[in-house]
Amino acid sequence: MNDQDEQPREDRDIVDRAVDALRAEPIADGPPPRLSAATVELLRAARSNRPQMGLLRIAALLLIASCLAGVIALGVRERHRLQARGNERPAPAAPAPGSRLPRLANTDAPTHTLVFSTDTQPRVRPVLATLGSAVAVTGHVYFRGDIPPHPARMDPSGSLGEYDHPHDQSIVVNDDGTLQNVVVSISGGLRAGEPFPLPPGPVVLNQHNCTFVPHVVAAMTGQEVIVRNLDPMLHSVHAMDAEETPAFNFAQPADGQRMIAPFQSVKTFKVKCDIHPWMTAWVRVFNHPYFDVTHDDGTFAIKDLPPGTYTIKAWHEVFGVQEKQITVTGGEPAVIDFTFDPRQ
Amino acid sequence: MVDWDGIVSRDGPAVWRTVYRLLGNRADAEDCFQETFLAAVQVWRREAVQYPHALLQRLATARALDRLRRRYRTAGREAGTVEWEDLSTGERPPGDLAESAELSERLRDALCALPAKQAQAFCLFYLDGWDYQQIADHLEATVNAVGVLLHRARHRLRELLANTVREEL
Repeated sequence: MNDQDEQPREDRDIVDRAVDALRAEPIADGPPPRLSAATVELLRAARSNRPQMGLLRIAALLLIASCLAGVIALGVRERHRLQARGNERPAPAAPAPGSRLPRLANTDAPTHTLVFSTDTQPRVRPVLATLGSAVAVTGHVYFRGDIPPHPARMDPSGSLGEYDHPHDQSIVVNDDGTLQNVVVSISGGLRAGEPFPLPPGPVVLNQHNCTFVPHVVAAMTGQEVIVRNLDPMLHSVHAMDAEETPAFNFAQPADGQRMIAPFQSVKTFKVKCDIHPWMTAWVRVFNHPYFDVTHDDGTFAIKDLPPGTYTIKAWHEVFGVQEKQITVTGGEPAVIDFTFDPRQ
Repeated sequence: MVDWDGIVSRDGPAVWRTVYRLLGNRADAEDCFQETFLAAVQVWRREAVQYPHALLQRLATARALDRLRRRYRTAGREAGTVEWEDLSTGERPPGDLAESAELSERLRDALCALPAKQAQAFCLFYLDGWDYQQIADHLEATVNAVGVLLHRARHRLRELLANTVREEL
């Protein structure tokens, strides 16, 4: 391009003139911006995730494989123990697709949708969870009762195509009768005034395929919460507490993510997208780290709870609350199950 | 272990220059700056990266072009409005500056109309000063293919820029 620089301006190729004009534009003064806290968090996480090459990688894979084999063997043994325990009580009723679910007093929705897991393989996840030495309390949450038929599409127009998520996630019952999205937490027995450690990492709530994923999340006061939009369309994040006081409300551009200021008080928020009204989620905030949300196998695991007697609470957005007492000895994890039955 | 702090402090300024030059405003450039590093994390998780600087430059160019396309799709050509204050405080005559600003904005607009690979090759070669071999390595193409990409990009840009001038006349 140097020879062209000598030509009169008007005679030069318009592409070269445009490139020169763009290159000559001043860049904003000052250093580049700082990376956001969310980006820094991801960079930190990525440090340990970089693929390792060569012998080191192979050695790591072998180590993981041998650990997994041991864990699965222990898991199967533990599962048998739990199953033997389970035989002492009536087995959870098998879901009956097509039957009706009674309307419940503590919900504002006239009907509810059940989403069935298609996974029919026995799982060892609850047992895997209990194998960590830090797990203090574990168990299942079950559902009993009649299940209504599968719903129509959530978006009546069907205009969203593949993003039209067909399921309401307010009641998600697995094939084995266990219930997802139940928040299990310690509600009594903790020493007052004791500072508790923050759980590691931020809580992440995704907007994916026009659905909040996960449907229910729990966080500790002071813990970072990140909301990510993984869809190529605009969403909003509108949170209201139990009194329907808006906690925050912001637009979430396509492929965007935003960190919410850490929660400062114990609350329960219902989160929705104002653009796609079927998109809802729940965020429960505690002032301690002893909580979990039941997974896709209906299990939960509360870790690092000191020995003592506690009240443990299970909360479901439709079925309400149950409380039980539990004693943690500091040795074997305490096992406790909950059953939600709308007929009772 | 990846020394992200070192990478950000060493390569951050170059990434910033690239995204700012292509986008032309601070707000978009700041968002794109974050996106570039987030995209780099994704690549790092998939594969070992030999030349972080080059990867970041390529990602910065690609992300900035994506954002530019979105901007022109949603806002039309008003995005490039030039303020009088911006023109009246330089060493060059305001007429020259106005013409340069107009040309820059037309080029941004025209780049959005190019196929992604052509636009990327064009920016890496003409704006970031990469050579054919570097571009070929990063776009997974041959050196000859890069030459073809650049030739087609120039040809198409010439048409687009000339058309814009004609429309305005």
